[in-house]
Amino acid sequence: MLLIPQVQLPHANFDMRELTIGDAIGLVKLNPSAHEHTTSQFLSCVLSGINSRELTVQERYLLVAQYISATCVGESDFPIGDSAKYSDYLRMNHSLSLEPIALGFDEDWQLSPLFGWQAEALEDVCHSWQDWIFGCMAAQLATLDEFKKEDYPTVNTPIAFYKDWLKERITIFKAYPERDFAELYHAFLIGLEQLNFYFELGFDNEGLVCLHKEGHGVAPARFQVSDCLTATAISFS
Amino acid sequence: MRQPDFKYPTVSLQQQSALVDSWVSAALSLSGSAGLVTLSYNEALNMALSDLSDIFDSQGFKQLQKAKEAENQLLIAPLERLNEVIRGLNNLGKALSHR
Repeated sequence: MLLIPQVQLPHANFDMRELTIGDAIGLVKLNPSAHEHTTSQFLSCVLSGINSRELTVQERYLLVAQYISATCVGESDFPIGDSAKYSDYLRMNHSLSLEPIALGFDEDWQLSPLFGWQAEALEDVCHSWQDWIFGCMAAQLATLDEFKKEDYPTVNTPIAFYKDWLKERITIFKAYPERDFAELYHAFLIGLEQLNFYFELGFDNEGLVCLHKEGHGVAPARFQVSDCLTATAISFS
Repeated sequence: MRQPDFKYPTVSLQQQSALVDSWVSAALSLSGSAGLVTLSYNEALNMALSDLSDIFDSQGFKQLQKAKEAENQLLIAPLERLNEVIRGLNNLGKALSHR
C-alpha cells in the first residue's frame, strides 16, 4: 500500500489512503462527465471522517491533484498535456478563507466560496459554460440580508429543493437589466480572483477548470478522478 | 477556449467495462480455491491498487503461477490419457461395425 503524504493546509490537515480495487470498480462505473459527483465519491473513499461536500471546490481539487501526485509513476510534479506540469496550475499564495467577502457594491453584495455540495447541484442544473457562470453567481452571490435569513441554503438543504432555488435565482439574474448585470458580473469576477486560493478557476461546458498560470493561451486542466484510476489500469493492459 | 488537456484521456464508456473486467479478473485470480493467493473475493477487493501491481509484478507471484500451471498439467494428464482410450474404443467400435 502506498503511503500518501498528509496534505497540510493552514486551516486543516488531510490524511488520504490509497484506493482499493473495490473503490476503483465503483468509481469507474460513475458517469465520467459528472466530475463533481465523482470527486465527492472519490474523496469519501480516500478521506475518513470528513464530508467532502462541505469542502470548498478549491480544497477538493487540491486533494485530487495531491492524490494523483502521490500515486503517479514518475515525478510528483506530474505532467499535464504535452508541456505543462502540475506546478504550472498550483498557486499557494494565500490562506483559504471560508467566510464570504464583501464586493463593495450596491445592496451589500457578498461572495462566498463555492462548496462541494453547491458544485454538485450546479452540475445537474448547468449544461454550458454560460450556465455555469450564471449558476456560480446564483450560488455564491448574496446580499448581507439574504445571508442572514434562516432559510438561506446550507449543506443540509435537500438537493432537489436547492436545485429549484438555484434555477429560480438564475432566472432572476438573467432578467437583470444589461447594465446592472454587467456591473454585478464585473464585481463577481473581481471577487472570484480573491477566492482563487490554490487554483485559478475558469469555466467550460462541463463545469469548473483550473487555469494555467500563464493565462488563457494555455489549455486549462481538470484534475479528474479517472486520472487516479487509469494509471493502474494502463499497467495491467 | 481550448478544450481541457489532461495527462490521461477521459475514461470512455467502452473503457469503463474493460477497466472493471481488468480489476475483477485480478481480484478473482487472487481469491477463492482457484486463486493463487488464498483470499476471499471481498478481501481481494479491499486490497490497494498498488498492492495489485506489486503482487502481479513480483517474482514470487510469477513462481506461484508456474507452480499452478504445473499442478494443472498433472491434473489434466490422466484426463488426456482417458480421452485417448475413449477415442481408441470408438475407433475399435467403428471398425467392428464395418465388418
